[in-house]
Amino acid sequence: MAETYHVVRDVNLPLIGKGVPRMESRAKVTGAARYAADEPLAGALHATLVTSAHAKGTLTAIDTRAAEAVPGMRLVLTHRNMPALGDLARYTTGGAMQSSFFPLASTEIRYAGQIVALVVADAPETAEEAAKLVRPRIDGVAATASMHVDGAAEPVPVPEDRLPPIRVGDMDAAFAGADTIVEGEWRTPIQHHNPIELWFTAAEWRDGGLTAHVPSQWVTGTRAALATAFDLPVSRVRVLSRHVGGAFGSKGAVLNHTLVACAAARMLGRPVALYVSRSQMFTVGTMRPAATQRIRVAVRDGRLTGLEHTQIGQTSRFDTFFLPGTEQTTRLYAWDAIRADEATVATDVNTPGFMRAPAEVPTLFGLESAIDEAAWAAGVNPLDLRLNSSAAGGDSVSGLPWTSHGLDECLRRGAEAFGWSDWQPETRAMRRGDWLHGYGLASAVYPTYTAPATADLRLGSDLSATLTGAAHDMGMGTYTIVRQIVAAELGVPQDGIAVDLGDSDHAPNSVAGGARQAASFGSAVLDAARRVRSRVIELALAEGRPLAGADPTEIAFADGVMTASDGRTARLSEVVGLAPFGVIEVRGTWVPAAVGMKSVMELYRSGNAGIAGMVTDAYARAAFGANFVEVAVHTRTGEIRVPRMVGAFAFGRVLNERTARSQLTGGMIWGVGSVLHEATEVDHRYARYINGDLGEYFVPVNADVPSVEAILVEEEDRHINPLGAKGVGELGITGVNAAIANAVHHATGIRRRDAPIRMEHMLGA
Amino acid sequence: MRTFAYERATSLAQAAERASEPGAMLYAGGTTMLDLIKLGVYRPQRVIDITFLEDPALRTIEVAGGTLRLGALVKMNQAAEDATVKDRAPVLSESLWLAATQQLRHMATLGGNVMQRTRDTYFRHPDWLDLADGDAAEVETYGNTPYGDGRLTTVRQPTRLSAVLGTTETDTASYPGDFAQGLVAFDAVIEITGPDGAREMPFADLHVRPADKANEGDYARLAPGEVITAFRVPLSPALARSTYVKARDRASYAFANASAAVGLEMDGDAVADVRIGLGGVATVPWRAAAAEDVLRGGPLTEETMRAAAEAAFADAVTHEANAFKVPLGRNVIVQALTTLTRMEG
Ligand SMILES: Cc1cc2nc3c(=O)[nH]c(=O)nc-3n(C[C@H](O)[C@H](O)[C@H](O)COP(=O)(O)OP(=O)(O)OC[C@H]3O[C@@H](n4cnc5c(N)ncnc54)[C@H](O)[C@@H]3O)c2cc1C
Repeated sequence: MAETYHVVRDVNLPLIGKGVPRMESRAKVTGAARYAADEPLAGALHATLVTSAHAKGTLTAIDTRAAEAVPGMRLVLTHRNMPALGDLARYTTGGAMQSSFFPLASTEIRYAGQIVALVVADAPETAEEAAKLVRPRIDGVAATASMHVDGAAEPVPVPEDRLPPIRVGDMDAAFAGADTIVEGEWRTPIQHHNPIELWFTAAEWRDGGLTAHVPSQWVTGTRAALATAFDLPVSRVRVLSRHVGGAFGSKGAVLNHTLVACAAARMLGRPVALYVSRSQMFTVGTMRPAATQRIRVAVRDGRLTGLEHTQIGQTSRFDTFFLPGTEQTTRLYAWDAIRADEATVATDVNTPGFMRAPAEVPTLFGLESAIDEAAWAAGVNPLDLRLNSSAAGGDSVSGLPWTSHGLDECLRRGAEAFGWSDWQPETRAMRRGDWLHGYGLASAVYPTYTAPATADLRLGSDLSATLTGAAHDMGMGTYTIVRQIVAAELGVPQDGIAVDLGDSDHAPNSVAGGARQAASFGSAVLDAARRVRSRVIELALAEGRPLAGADPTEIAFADGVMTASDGRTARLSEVVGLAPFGVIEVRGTWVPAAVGMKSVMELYRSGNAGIAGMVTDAYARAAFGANFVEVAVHTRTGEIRVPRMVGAFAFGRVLNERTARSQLTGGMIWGVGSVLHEATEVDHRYARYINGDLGEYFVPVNADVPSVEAILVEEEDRHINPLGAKGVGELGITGVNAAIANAVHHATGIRRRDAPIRMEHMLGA
Repeated sequence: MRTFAYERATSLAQAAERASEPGAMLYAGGTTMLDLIKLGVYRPQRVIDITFLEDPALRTIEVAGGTLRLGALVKMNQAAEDATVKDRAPVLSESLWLAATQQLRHMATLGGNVMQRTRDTYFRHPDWLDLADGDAAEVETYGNTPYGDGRLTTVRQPTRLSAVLGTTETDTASYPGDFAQGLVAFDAVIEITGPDGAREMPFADLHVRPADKANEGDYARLAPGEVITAFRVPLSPALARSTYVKARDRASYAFANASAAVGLEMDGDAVADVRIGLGGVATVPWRAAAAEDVLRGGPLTEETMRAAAEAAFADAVTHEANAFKVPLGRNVIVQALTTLTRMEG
C-alpha cells in the first residue's frame, strides 16, 4: 500500500532538526545518570560466569567443591542444578533469544567461552575468586571457529523460503557485452561490538514477580523472553534500562546469562547482580561474523551493467544466521543484470548477531572495492562510474520507485567538500615526506526500516508534560529528539517535558535496531502530540470557549499560546485546565502501512510486531551516503593513517542536527577501526579467540581520526512516515571500509581484498 | 581476585626488607601490576608501595660527571618532558612520549616501566593453562605466577606480536616496553638497593633471555627485595643526536610492532659512533650490535643503512604470523638512521 504523509516540515516546526544538546548529558557527565548496574539493589548478591576453555565436547564432570568452600559463597549453578526453563525461542521464531542453544541445559560444549557455571557470592571479588576454583572437566574434540581456514565446512545456500536469491536481467548478455570485468573474493573477519558498558543483569524477585535491570535495546522483547522462561504473565515481569552505555546490536536479543542470573536470584531469594567480564563479552553473546564476498562486476561504456554477488557468512553449528547484504548491493546502482545469492558456513562459535550495519559493512567492502577496481580497469573516474550508474530512477531489482533517493546528491556534495577533483588516476603519486597519500571513495547505503510503535503522552494544565514509552536510548539521543517533537508540536517549553524510556511497563515497542527507532517511535510520539493537540483544539473551540468558531485546522501553537487565524488567542494552560481533572492523556501509535495489523497485535506480548524494510509493495526505501577519505601510508613502516574523512549523507528529515551528526561521525570512525584495526583472532588449534580484551582488540583512538566531517544532505521524503525521517544510526559506517581500501590502493598501488588492512601488507610499498 | 595486603614503605631499606619476604612484591605506579593481578598472572600476598618514599635520589633527574641519572620513581611523563633529557638524550624522551597514554605516563614510574612483562596473550590470560598438558604444580616464581611449572609452553604459539630475535622454540613472547631500548643501546647502568645493600648492574643484564630462563618467573636478574633505584646513562654525542622510531597499529596508545632507539655521531663522512636498540621484535630489550658494527667507521648511505638493517636481523627466527617483523624491523632502523641524517649533528 502506498503511503503518503503530510510531513511535519509543512507544519513549520523550527525546533525539529535543531542541534539541541542531549537532555541527559549533564546527568551523564556528573555520574547522576543511572545505568543498569547503578541501580541500588538492597541485599544484592554478586555473580560471575565460569566459561569453557574447550570449544567442543562433553562436560564429563564439574568439581565445584573448592569453590563452594570459599567463605561468602552462596551458590554454584551448573547444568546439574539449573532449573528447567520454558520455551526459549529465538527472535527468528517468535521468541527473543539470541541463540537457540542454552548451555546450562545439558553437558554439551559447543563453543569456546560457553557458560558452564554461575558462581554467586556475597561480594564480587569472592565470586570471581571462587569462579577460578570451579573445575570443569571437558572431553574435548576438534573444532573450527573460523570460516577462513582449511577444514572449515562447505558453504550451504540459505534456504529459498527464508531468502529467495535475486535474479534480474540477462547475466550472460551483460558480461558478454562488458568492456571491463572485475572478479574477486573479499574477506572480512570476526569482529566484536565492545560497547564500553559491559553486559550486566541484576534480577530481583518480589511477590512472585521479576524485575530485571539489563542494558537493553529491547525491553519489551526481554520481558517476553523472561516471562516465557519463568512461566509468568508479562505483567509480572519488568525490564528496566534507562541509560545504555553503547550497544551496537549486542544488547537486543536476550543472552543466556540473563536467564541464568534470574534463575539464581529466584533460587536464592535474593537479588543477584551479574557482570559479564570484557573477555567473556567475546564469547557469551554475539559478534559480527566473518564473511566472504564473491563478486563479479561488468562495466560497459563507463557504466555498471552486471553484478554477480554471493555472500558467504559465518554462522554457528546450531543456528542458521545470515545477513542478506546482497539485498543492498543489488539495489545501489542501475544494473542491467543481477544474480545474488547468500550462503552460510557453520563453525564452532556462538551464534553471530547484528553489529552496526551488519549486512552492509562486509558486502559494501566487497562491492565498493570491486567497483573501484573496475573503474581503474576501465579508465573511468570512480566518481563518474557511480554517477553514470545511478539508480535514482528506481530500484533495479523490484522496479519500484524510491521514497526518495539521495545517493547522487551525496556523491556530488561529498566530492565537492572533499576536493575529489584533485584525484588523479595514478598511484604513488601523492608523496609528502615519508608518507604516500591517496584518495578513495565509496557509496554508503542503509535500508530504511520502520516498525509499529507506541508512546504515551500526558499534558497537565501547568503545561508540564510526561512522555513515556518502552523505547531505548543507547546514547544516540532518543530522549532528546522525542522531547523536541513534543515541544515543537505543542508549543511548550522543552524543560517542562519529562521523558521516561527504557521501562517495559511503558507503551510497548520493538527493538531499537536497524536504525528504526527514531523513524518509528518518533512517529508514535508525533501521533501522541497531535492527539493532544486535537483534544486541546476541541476544548478551545467548543461553544462559549475562547476560540469558539475558529478554523480548527489553522490554530498555531507557540510559547504556551494558541492563536486562531482570526487573531484570537487562548492560553494553553487555561484550555488544558478545561479537560477533566486538568490533564490530557493519550496514547500515540504508528504502524507502517506495509506491516499487517495481524502482527501488530503481537507488539505488547512479544515486542516483535513485524517490520517494513527496504522494499514494500509500493516503494524501495533507503538512506544513502558517500564517503571520501584520504589515507597516508608510511613508505618504510607501512603504517596506515587516515588524516581526513568527509561523508555526505541523505536520510530524510534531520531530527536533531547534533545527534544525527554524532551518529554519522561515530560510524565513520568505527569504519576506520573496522577496516584497519578490528579483528577477533582465532587460535585455530583450539578454536578459541586470542585477543579477547581491549588491550589486544584495537579500536581507533583520537589520534587516528584527526578530521572527520559529516555533511547532512537535506532530503524531503513523503512516503516513509509523518516525520519524513529515515534511520541514521547505521549509515555512517557502511561505506568507510571500502573507501579506505580504495584510498590505500591510490596511495600505494597495493590492492587488499582482506580486512583488516595492516602495516604488514604495506611493507612492499 | 585474591586478597593481598598493601603496605607503604617507610624507607628504601625497609622496602627492600619487606619485599624480600615470600609472596611480596614492590608496587610503584601500579599501572601494569594491577592489571596482571586482576588477570590472575601475579598473585602477590603483599605489595610494598614505594611511591611514597621521599628520597630525592629516587625522584630526580640530574647530570653529574658526564652521566645522566634518572631516579627510578621518576614518572614517565616527568622524564619525557624534562629539558635536560630532551636536550642530552632525546631518544629517552621520545620513547616515553610514544609510550602508553598521558594518563598512564602520569602514574607510571621508570622503574616499573622496565619491569613490565610481555603482552603476549597466552601469558596474560592464565585460563589458557586449562588447555595445557600435564598437571598443574605450584612453583615459586617472581610475582607468584601460575607459570612456574612450565605448562604454558605446551599451549602457547607465536602470534603476530611475537618476537623474532632472542627466541626459543617454545618462547617467542616479545618484550613490549619502549624506554628500555634507549637504555640498552647507550650502555645504561642500573643502581639497585637490596636487603643486603647496594649494587650496580649493566642494564643489558637485567632481562633474562628465554634460553637462560629456569622458568617463566625467572624474568629479571633481581634478587627478592631488590629495588631499582636509578638508571645512569653515560652522556655522549650519539646520545645527544638520537631518536626513537616506533611502528604501531594505531597512531597512539599501542605497543610497538617494531621500534628502534638509534643514536649517531659522525666524523666527517664516517660514522664515529652508532647505537641501535630494538623493541617489539625481541624477547628482551635488544642491542643490534652486529648492525652497529656494519656502520661504525664507514660512510652512512642508503646502502650501508640497508646492510646494517640486514645484519640486525640475520639471526631472526620467524613464523607465519610474525614474519613481517623482519622487513618491518629493518625499515624501522633505516627510518631512524635517515631521520638522524636530517638532524644537525
Ligand atoms: C594500556 C597500557 C598501554 C601501555 N602502553 C605502553 C607502551 O606503549 N609502551 C611502554 O613502554 N609501556 C606501555 N605500557 C606499560 C607502562 O609503561 C607500564 O605499565 C608502566 O611503565 C609500569 O610502571 P609502574 O610504575 O606503574 O609499575 P608497576 O605496575 O607498579 O610495577 C610493574 C612491575 O615493576 C616492579 N617494580 C616497580 N618499581 C620497581 C623498582 N623500582 N624496582 C624493582 N621493581 C620494580 C613491580 O614489582 C612490578 O612487577 C602500557 C600500559 C598499559 C596499561
